[in-house]
Amino acid sequence: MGSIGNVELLFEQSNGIPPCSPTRSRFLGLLPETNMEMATPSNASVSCSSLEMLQSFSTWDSLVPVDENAGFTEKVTARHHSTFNPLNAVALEHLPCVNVVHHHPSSPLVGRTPSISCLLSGTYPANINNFCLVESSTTVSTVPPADYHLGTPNQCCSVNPSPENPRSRVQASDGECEGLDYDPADQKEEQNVANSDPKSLSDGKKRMRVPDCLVLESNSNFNKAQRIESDQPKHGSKFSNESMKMQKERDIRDDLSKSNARQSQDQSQNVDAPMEDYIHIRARRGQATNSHSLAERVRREKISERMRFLQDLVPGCNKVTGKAVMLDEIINYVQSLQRQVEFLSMKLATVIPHIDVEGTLLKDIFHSDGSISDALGFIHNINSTYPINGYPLESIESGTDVMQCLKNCGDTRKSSMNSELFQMDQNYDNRYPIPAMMSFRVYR
Amino acid sequence: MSLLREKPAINPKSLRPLFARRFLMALITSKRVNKRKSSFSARARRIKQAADISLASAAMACNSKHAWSKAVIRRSHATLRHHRLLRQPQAEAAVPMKEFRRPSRADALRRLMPGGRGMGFCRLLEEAADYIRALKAQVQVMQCIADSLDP
Repeated sequence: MGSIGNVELLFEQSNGIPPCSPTRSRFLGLLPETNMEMATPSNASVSCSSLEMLQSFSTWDSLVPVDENAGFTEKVTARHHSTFNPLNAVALEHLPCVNVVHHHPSSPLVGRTPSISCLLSGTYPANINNFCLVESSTTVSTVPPADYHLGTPNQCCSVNPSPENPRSRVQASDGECEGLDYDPADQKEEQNVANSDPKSLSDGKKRMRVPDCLVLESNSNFNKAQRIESDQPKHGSKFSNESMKMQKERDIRDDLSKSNARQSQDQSQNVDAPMEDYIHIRARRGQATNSHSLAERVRREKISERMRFLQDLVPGCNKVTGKAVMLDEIINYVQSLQRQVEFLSMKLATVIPHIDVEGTLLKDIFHSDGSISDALGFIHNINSTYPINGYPLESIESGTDVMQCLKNCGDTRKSSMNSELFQMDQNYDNRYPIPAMMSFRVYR
Repeated sequence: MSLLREKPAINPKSLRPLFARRFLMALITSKRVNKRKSSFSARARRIKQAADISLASAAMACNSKHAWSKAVIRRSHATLRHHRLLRQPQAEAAVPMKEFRRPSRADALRRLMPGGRGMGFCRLLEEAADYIRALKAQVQVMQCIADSLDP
């Protein structure tokens, strides 16, 4: 948790937006637009790859022509030590990952892009992205503001925020190193690579940490989608259609590969229409794009997100890592809160004598829940039932009067007025006074 | 903390004042019926019941998509009508041997939470978060009342 947690902090500090899944799709949708501004027609490999890096997982279609052999041989061992020229550093780190991506715009793109996206997605494991982004965090400032948007979702995508799985993240980084040892020959293959590699990669990288962003390959979606559809019509169609839609969104905004966009767009439009309300997820490179595993990944992401939320709620859980320990803490906390409520109710029972909550009363509360106006009606009903002894109906404007009532009930007690509670009540709802006096009066 | 969390950190209608109001109304209007023979424990129990119900109703008004509040109210309805719906032991009976399904931590959490029996893990965590928030508010309000009445 140490180093990776620090990197996370670095992200948060630099960009202010911790990685989180809900707005993934939004960001992903946002990214391609900015991609256009950033893309240089010259297609310098460095700029393109860095651009890709910054865009993280959203634009797999950005068929950036990358020099096939530029810097590939250098392993990414030096990636953390690359020169501080952020773009170059990014590019250098990126290139080995892009190793396989020998992409010629002229070549049949459907075949190429899967491999690109395959490999690209796989090369964005936690640590690489962490480090890349750490270095590129400076680029965020130097680069046009559009880049910031690119940066943050990238950050969202790349940083694995699960504090409970530091070990797995570390393993992911190790797996990342492994990823660079791909046989370049394999990855230069065409279509089959996209289809077969993810599976083999996923097998080899089972222990890779599932990143927050799942990115399906761009154009391989069709191949996979069709295959998935044939295999598992129930699950696959959903995801394939999602991927279609994602691809269509991306393609529309992709200027780098117009032909590809056109090509894919035609195909995507066929399937795209009905699937508008699905959650768009993308499988990362090196991970199985099986619909089941995709669903699992989504589920795991949801769970980890909720665990993070719970961590904020339960005090003293910042250092806790791991679902099991976290669950224990949560259980203990809930138990302690419930015991506290019980204890406080006992304490109140000593203070408020002769209190008796009856069924009728509770039913009234049931009926009045959900709206204050109903509660007001409830109050009025109560008022009408009982005689008013010197207290006008609307006289109670502050919660302190209520406390007075309660105090009076506990005759002998002279308690000081503590209106903190009622401050917040007052601030919230001054229009509905509690005409409580009458009922108390009756039963002194 | 995070701008991107799905669940808003602050509900538009804050939970605490809602609960405070309802709880106090419950306390106050409960004076209507005054059986002097109620024992201390019975009183305490009823106060707790009132607190739970008002908390659940406030939570439902605040954010009705959570199931635990409905479960609490449903439970109290049942007890009010004297249908003593005890916890069904069916789940345990369905599992013959302990090794079959060791009571996991998720099960322990389900037992703690109202209405947590039929929930999946993901939903359970979500409900737990909301429930914890509501419990915190409840404790704070009751503490405040207790302090003001008896410093």
